[in-house]
Amino acid sequence: MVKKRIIPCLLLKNGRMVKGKQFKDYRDTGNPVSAAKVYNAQSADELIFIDIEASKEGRIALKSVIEKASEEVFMPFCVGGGINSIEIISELLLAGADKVSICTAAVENPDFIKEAVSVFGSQCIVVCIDYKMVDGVAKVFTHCGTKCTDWEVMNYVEHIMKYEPGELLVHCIERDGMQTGYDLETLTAINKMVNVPVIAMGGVGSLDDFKNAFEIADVSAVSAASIFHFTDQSPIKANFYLKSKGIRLR
Amino acid sequence: MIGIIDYKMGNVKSVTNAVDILGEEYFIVRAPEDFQLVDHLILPGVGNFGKGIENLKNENLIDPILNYLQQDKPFLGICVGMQILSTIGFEGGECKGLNVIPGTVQKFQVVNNIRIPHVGWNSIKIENDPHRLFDGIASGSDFYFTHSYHFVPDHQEDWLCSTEYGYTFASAIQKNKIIATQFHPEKSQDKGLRFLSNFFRM
Repeated sequence: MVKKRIIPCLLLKNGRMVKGKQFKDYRDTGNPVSAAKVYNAQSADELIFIDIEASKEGRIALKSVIEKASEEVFMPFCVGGGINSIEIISELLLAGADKVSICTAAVENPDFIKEAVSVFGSQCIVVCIDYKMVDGVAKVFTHCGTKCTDWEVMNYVEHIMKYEPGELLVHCIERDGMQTGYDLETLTAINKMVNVPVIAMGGVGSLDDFKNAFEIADVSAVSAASIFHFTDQSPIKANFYLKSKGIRLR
Repeated sequence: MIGIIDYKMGNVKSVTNAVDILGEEYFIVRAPEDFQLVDHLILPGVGNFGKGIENLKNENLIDPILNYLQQDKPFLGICVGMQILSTIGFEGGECKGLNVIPGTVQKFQVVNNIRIPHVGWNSIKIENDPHRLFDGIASGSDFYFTHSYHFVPDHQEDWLCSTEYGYTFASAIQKNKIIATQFHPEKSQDKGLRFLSNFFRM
C-alpha cells in the first residue's frame, strides 16, 4: 500500500524562506534551496513551497527557487501562492513543480479548478483551505489569511470537491506556528467526507502531533514548518519515531 | 545519445535534470529528424492520455516513435508516456493508443477504501528478480506515484513490476527493450536515479 507522507513546508518571501505565527510576524529562516537539499538528505517525502506575497515579483523569485532546487533535488514539489491562471500553472510546472496548491482562486472562481484539472489532471491540482474560528464557526479565509469568506469550512469542502481537485491541503490559521498540535476534529471530519488524499497543516509542536494526525484523523500526509525550522526535529527523526509507533512510512 | 521527447505534456526539465546529474549527454527531441542520433529514447509525460496522443499527432511524432521502436533500441515511457503505449485509454473519453504493448488504461476502481488519485511512495515488486534494470534496487523499494489511471496489460509476460493499491496493478511493463513505468524515477530520489542509470546502460 501507499505510504503516509511527511512534507516539510517552505514559505517564501522575496525568494527567502520565512516562518510566522498565525500568518503574521514572519521571520527569516534561510535559503530555501539549501533547505530543500537538507530535507532531501533527510528523506522527506515531498516539499511544499508557498510564496506568501502572491505577487508577480514573488512568483519570479519562487520560480527561480524551484528551478534551482529541481536541479539537485529529485523529489516531488508542490508549489503555491497567488495561482489563478492556466499560464501560471504551466510556468511553474516547467520550472520543476509537480503540482500546484490553489487557495484564493478556488474560492473566487471554482470553475478554474475544473479547468486546471481538465488540462493537467486532478493529481496536479491541490486545493488549499485556510480556515479560522470566527464566533464559534470555522470559516474559510483567502488572501493569505487576511480575508474572511462566507464559507463555513465543511460546506466549502463539499462544494469544492465537485470541481475534482486531486488533494486537499487543510490549514488551520490559528494553530499556524503555535506548535500546539493539529486541529484533529476538523481534519477527521474532512478526511471522512472526501475520497482524495488530505494533507494536514498548521500547529505541529511534537512528533506525537504527527502520530495523532495519522492515527486519529487518518490523513494521507502531514505538513509542517516550525518543528523542522526551530527545533532539533527533522523529517528523518519523525520518520523513525512514527515507524516505531507502527505508522506505515517509507 | 539520449533523446527526451518534448510534446508539451508537463515537465521535461525534471527528466533532463536527472539525466544531467547522472553525467549523461542528452538532447530534446521535438521533430521527426531529431531521432537519427538517438540510441536511448525517453517519453515522459504528466496529464491526460487523450491530450498526449493529440500532441504527438500534432507534432508529427507518432511515426518516428514507432519507427524507432522497430529498431529494437532502448525506450523508456514514464507515467502518461507509459499509458500511451497501450491499445486503448479511457481518460477523457475512449481514445486509441499506440498499441505497442497490448492493454488498456483504466481508472482505479474504488475498492478497499482507496483514495484517488494514488499519490505518494509505494513499493514495487520486481516480477523477475534479479533484473538488470533494478541492479542495486531491491524488490520492495519505494517509488513515487501520482496518477488516477493505470495500465492493464493484456499479457502477463509484459509485467515488469507490480504494486498494491486497493488491488495489484502493473507499475512497470517491458517488452524487449521497451520499458515503461507508472512511477516517476525522476522524482524518486536515489533509487529513481539508479533506475535511470541502469536504463542508460541497457
